[in-house]
Amino acid sequence: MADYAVVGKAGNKEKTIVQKLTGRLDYADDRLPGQKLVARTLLSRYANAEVTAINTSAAEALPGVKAVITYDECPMLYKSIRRWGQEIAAVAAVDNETATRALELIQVTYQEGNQISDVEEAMKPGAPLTGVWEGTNIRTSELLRGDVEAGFAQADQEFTETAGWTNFWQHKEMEPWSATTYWVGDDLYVWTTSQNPFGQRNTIKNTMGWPMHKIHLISHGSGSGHGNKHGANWIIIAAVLAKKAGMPVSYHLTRFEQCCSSTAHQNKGKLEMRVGVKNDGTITAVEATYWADGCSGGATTASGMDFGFRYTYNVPHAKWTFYDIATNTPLRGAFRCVADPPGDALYNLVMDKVADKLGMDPLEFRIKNLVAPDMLQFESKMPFSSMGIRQCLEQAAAALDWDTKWHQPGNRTLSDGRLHGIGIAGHIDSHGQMSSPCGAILNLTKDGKCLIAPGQSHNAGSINAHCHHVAEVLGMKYEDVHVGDWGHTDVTSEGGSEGGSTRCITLGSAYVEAALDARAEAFAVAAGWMGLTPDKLSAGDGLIFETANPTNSKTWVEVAGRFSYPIIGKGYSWPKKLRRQVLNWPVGTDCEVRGQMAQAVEIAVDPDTGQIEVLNMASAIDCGQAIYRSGFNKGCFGGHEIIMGETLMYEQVIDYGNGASMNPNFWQNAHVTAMDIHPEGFNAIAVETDDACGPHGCKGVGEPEVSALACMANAVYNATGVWIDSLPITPDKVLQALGKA
Amino acid sequence: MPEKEQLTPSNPVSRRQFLKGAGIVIGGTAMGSVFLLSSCGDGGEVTKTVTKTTTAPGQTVTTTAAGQTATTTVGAVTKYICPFDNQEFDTLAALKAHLEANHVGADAANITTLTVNGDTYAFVDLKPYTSLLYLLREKLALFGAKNGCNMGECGGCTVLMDGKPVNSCLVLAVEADGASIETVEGLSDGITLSTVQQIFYDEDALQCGYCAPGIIMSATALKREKANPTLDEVREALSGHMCTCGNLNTYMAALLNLR
Repeated sequence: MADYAVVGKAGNKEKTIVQKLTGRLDYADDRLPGQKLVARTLLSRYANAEVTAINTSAAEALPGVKAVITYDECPMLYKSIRRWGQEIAAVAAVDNETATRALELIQVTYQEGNQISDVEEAMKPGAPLTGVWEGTNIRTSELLRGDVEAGFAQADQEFTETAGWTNFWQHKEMEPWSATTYWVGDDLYVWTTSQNPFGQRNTIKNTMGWPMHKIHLISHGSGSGHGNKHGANWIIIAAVLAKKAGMPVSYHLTRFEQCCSSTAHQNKGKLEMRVGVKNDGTITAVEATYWADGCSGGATTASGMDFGFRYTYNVPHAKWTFYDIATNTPLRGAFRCVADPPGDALYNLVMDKVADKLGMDPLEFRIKNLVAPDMLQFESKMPFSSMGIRQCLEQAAAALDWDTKWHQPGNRTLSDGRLHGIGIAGHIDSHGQMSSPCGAILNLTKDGKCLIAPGQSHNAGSINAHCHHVAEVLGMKYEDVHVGDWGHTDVTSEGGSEGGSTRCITLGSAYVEAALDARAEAFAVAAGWMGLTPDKLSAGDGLIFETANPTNSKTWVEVAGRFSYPIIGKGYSWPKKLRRQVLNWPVGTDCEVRGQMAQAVEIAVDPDTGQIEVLNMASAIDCGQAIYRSGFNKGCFGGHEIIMGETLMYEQVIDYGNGASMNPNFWQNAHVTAMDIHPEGFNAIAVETDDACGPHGCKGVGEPEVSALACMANAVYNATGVWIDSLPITPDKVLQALGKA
Repeated sequence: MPEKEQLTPSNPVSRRQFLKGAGIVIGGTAMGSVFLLSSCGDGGEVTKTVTKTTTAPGQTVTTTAAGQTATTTVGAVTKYICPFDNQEFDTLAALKAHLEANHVGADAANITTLTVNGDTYAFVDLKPYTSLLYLLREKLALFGAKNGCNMGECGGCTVLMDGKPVNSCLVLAVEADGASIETVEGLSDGITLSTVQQIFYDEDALQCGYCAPGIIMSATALKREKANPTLDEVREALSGHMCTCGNLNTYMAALLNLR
């Protein structure tokens, strides 16, 4: 492993932490105090309907209302309704209360259709159409690998196991969709929450036909996203209202709007898997069927749910069948990917069920069947740029003392009468890779510092990773690399989407190139001064020095003082190819760059109340190389809290009778609080495999918990001896499983 | 004497003209029905805006207006200036009587005064539904308190009201009459950090930061009460806060010095 001066060092701080701590980081709604109108949207109370008439005159006449728009004026408002809560009209008024009153005055006439929000009803033969797809509620596809029946013929035993349904919930970002917009002539100014400012600008241009160069979009603070802030629906609604009203408009969604409208949700999934195994636990073949609720957007998610299994396990013969089902439920969208969380949870549950039938330790069963580092990926025929899945499983298990604590299911009771359980899950992720090309720019200032301006949104981690990359290349201290502006489409270079765990590696590689570009110019200045040629120079610890004689040095401050013009570095991201030889694969080989991870959890289940207490958790994540180490740790710890929520609490309940969301808020849709957390029980382990593609050996690790949904269910089985494989695992399900309800 | 002003949401132009006439520099108070009367100060641009209140001689007073902060050293004289006609009064009560008689009719009884981060403000004719959160954000440009849910679920808007944490979205502004409010902006000048802010800084304990101001205020109240809280006390103090980055454990660990 390389010995880095800045990269991966503990103690480096988030670059905007003081702004965040003091309430001075500007989020989308923190603009134009008192000057902006408030937008609210009218949401459908039917889940499948056509709007036949709409009358907004009473709303427009209400004092304080400045603009009312409908589907005739804005493509983000809808006449054909396919989900309860879909947006029909929007109002801009002097305050929230007036806007809300105005919505009540809009008269809508609907022609109702058949709504089906229960996915199992929608997939029944002869079910009425949900209207999402033409002529069908189901779409299907298949994927084949090897010769399945030949694979099963090699097996000593066969098991058919099921898991699911997983749960349906909304992301619960602390900051909802939010944008403040205004117009100056035909120039649109937008402050928005975001995961992809340039992508949002593209969406606005493509949807509205407004010239790209006249859309000035800024995203500074973003109050988490989890995949739900790539779109521009809310911005477009605010902008159309602002244009009509001739005044600034803020559309900052209510929790009700955030849980319904056009926001993303994690969808439900289900799996049935036939597994052929030898007596020693070697899997010879699988035949898997996945079902996914495609919701009202008609998403085809099922065909992604197999990803983790396909990449993680060495199974030469397999057949996957996918069923996507369209229902009249709120939109499905990415939450730590669109398909990985339900997919990885489901097959990890099945892995435990099969291990249980074989009488094997589930950790041993997993490790026995892992892909090997010298294998090509079955479908892509590409090598992996790094492979740490085995270490992840072993180290997550070791952190919780797996060998001592794992026991036969339902076999250990704690001194307080509660049932002890421990579970593990792991997978190779679809994320963390080098994604679409993007660019980076930085400035070397005349006071010897570096200023970067990432063209991306800013939630928590990646812009700090860029500062590490840049400081390492320039030989500066981390403290001397600063973040100037970011997420501003007028002045930053297009930095891509803060999604799929790709920024640290992809934009990070562009920043390495930008730093090399700027360093070359600075070396030329220093070399001229020092009477050397630039190729004789190196940089480190705030100095530029003669490589052969490090005592012959100048500080960055001294060299920068000699710049006759400001030095600008620019760089573009790297292709997804090996940058050093791996085994027999040479430099330049197209490769698979994949985040890899495992989580283990230890719980106590109260058999009288069904309550589950999470005692300890461990994440071991193959990140290639931790860049911003504190960010890595917080990401893992954050993953633990999210696992607890996803597995034990989150569920947006739909009334199948009419498609309505029954708990579109925080308080009826339970959330993890401090009362649930043992902070001392959280463990984060960086498995550093020195990736052969990423800058400074890194891979993306922004989505560190998706397979862990299963580790909780596996731990519950270990504690109770009964499977609860539908999520969330609530106390009532536990009691029912224990025969007490 | 100027004509009486009707302060209704349907008459924003009139109010904008009024604000302009009164020299208020608060950005765009045109749309609400709330007026900032007092952004205390003495001398300079700020004094001209509205009511001035002063404290002891030589004391430094920070004045916040439209997101801009001006600090001025004030004298011993307290004057309350009518924003309509610039008449000066020695007491707030006298100003209230003047307003009632001359400018805003029966609604003049509806004057709410509160102290925010040490500065006293008075507001005329607040709507009964105006929340403390709205007042802080849209009228005082104090954006630290966040509108995460506007229904008391997430804790993002937490401020201290007479030293106790409250969800400012659930406190009606008129309920805060006479109260002392502390927001995250009041804990620090942006350079020197408070005790809790410094703890979180040292541990690099933030992710997206949206929940942080609210959590800092609850943790501040806790630490004032107890310098070395137990796990259960930290849990209880933060129990009204949500963090969807999953960062609660990191805040807790920092407050308990666990990592």
